[in-house]
Amino acid sequence: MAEPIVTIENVSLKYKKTVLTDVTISAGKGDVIGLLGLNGSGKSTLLSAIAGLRRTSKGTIKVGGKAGFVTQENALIDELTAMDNLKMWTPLSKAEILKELTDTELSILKVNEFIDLKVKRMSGGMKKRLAIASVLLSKPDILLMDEPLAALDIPAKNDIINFIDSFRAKGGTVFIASHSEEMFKHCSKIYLLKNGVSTLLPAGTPPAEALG
Amino acid sequence: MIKAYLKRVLLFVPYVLCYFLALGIAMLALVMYASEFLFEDSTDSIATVACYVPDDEAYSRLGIGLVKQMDSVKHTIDIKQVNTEKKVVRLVEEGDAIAGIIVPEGFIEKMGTPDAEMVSVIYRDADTFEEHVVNDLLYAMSDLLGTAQASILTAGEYAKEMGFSDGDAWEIEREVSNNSFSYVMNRKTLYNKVDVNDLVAKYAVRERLTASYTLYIMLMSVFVISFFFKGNNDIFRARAKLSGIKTWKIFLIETGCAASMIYLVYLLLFICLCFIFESMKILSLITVIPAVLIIALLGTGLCYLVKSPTAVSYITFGAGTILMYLAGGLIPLDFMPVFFQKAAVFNPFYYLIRFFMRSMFL
Repeated sequence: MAEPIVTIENVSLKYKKTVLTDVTISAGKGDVIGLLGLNGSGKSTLLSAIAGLRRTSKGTIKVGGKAGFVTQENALIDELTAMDNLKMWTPLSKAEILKELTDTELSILKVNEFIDLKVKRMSGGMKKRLAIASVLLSKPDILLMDEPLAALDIPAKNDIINFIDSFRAKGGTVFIASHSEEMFKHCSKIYLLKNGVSTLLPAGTPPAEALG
Repeated sequence: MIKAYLKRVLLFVPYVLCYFLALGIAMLALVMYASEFLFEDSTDSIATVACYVPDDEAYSRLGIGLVKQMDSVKHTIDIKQVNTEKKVVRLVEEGDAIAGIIVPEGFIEKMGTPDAEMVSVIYRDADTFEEHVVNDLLYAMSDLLGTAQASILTAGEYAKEMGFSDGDAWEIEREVSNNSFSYVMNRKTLYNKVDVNDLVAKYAVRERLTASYTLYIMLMSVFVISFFFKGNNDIFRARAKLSGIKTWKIFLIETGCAASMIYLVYLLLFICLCFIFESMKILSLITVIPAVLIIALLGTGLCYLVKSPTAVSYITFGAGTILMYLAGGLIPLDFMPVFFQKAAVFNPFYYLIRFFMRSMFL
C-alpha cells in the first residue's frame, strides 16, 4: 500500500457536544474517501478538522500535502464576477487564470464559459463549479468536498464527478462528505460515521443499507 | 483581495448613497420642522435666567424691569429675579434656570473706574445648550444693561411716576448722563465669560440637530453596510484562512471600505447641507474623518461580533437610537428631565455629537 497522505488516528472532537469519537481513517494518493452519515453525524466537522480549521480534543491528524476545502456553502462574493472571485484568492494574473481554466483538468468544470458573469446571476451548479475552481487554483494535493453534489442538476453533477475522477487519476486525494449514492460509486473507500464513530464499509455495501 | 474589495465598494456606493440621500432629506425636513417649532413667534420664554441684583443697584433693577418687557427678551428669556446670589446658583444647579446673572455690588457706581467689577454669568457644564444660550445671554445682558443705561436717560420720567422725588429723578438723569457714554464705549468688556461661539441661538439649535441627525444617518449606514461584510462569515473566513489570509487583515480591509462608504455618505450630505447652511465648514471634510473611522470601526466590530444582519439592524436602530436620544441627539437635552441631562455626560454619544457639531460648523 502506498504511504498514506492523510492519517487520522483516534481523533475525538467536541463541539458543544461530542461529535467525533476515536475516528481512524487513512488515505493514500489517488484515494477518494467517502464519508457517509446522517445529518449531524460529524462529516463536515471531520473535513474541517482535516483542513486545520478545528482543533481535535484527542488523537492526531497528519496531512502530507496542501489541502483545499470546498465547503457546502460557497465562499463567493455575489456582486463580483467569476473572474474577480478567482482573482481574490490567487496571485495569478487574469491570463494565467484563463490558461489554468482551459488547459488543465479544471476545463472539465467549464468555468471559462461564465467567467464574466456575476455570482448573483449564476445557477447553483455554476457556483459550485466556480467554488471548486477557486480552491483548485491553489494546486492542493488533497481536496476536501462537503456535499459537492447537493442541489445540482444532472449535467453539473456529471461535470463534478468527472472532475473528481480526473483529479484522482493525477494522484490527488479526495475526501467527500455526501448523501449521494451516485457519488459513492466513485469512492475507493467509504467510511460510515454514526454517533461520532467511524466504520470502514466493506466494498460494495449500498450506502442506504449501511445507514439503516 | 484589496482590489476585489475596492471593486465591491464602487458597486455598493450607489445603493448606499441613494438610500442615505432619501434618509437625509427626511431628516433635514425634520430639522427644519423642529427649529420652526422651537422658534415660532408664539413660543414664549424658552429659557429661564436667574438674576440677582444687589439692593443698592436701583438703576440696574429699573433697567431690568424695563428690559423684561422688551419683545426681544420676553419671547425668549424669562428673567427670574431672586434676592441672593446663592439662589441664582441653586436655580442653575437644579436645572430650574438655564443660566444665572449676578450683578456685583456697586456695579454702576464703579463702572468706568479702575475698580470696575464684572457681571458674572453662570451656567451648567453639562448643559448642551450652554454655548448659544450663554451667547444669547450675553447679548441679552448687553441689551438689558445697555437698554437700561440708554433708557435711563429718560428714566427720570419713569422715576417720578414710580415715586422718586424730583431731586432724585434729576440725580438719576445726571448720573446716567455721566456714565452712559463710558458704558457704551466699554460695553464689550462688561463680561468676564466670553467662551461662546458666534452663532445666534436659532441657528445653533438647528445646526446642532443637523449635526446630530447627520451622525445618526452615518450610524444607521452601519446596518446597510453590514451586508457588505464577508469577514463575519465563517465560511469566508475559513476560506481566507486556508489561503493564508489572516482574519485581522480582512477586518482592516473591511473597516477601510466601510469608512470610505460612510465618508461618501457624509460628503453627499455635506454638499446638500451647503445649500442650506452658510456656516458649513469645508474643513469639516477633514475633521469629520476621525468620527467616520470610529463609526466604521464600531460598525465592523459589531458586524463581526453579531454576524446576523437582522441582529445588527436591531442593535443599530434600537441601541443607537436610544443612546442618541439620551445624548440629546434627537431632541435637545434641555427638554428632558434633569436626571437625563445629568446622566448624559456618561453617554459616549454625547461627546461624539459635540465633536461632530464642532467638526461641521465651528
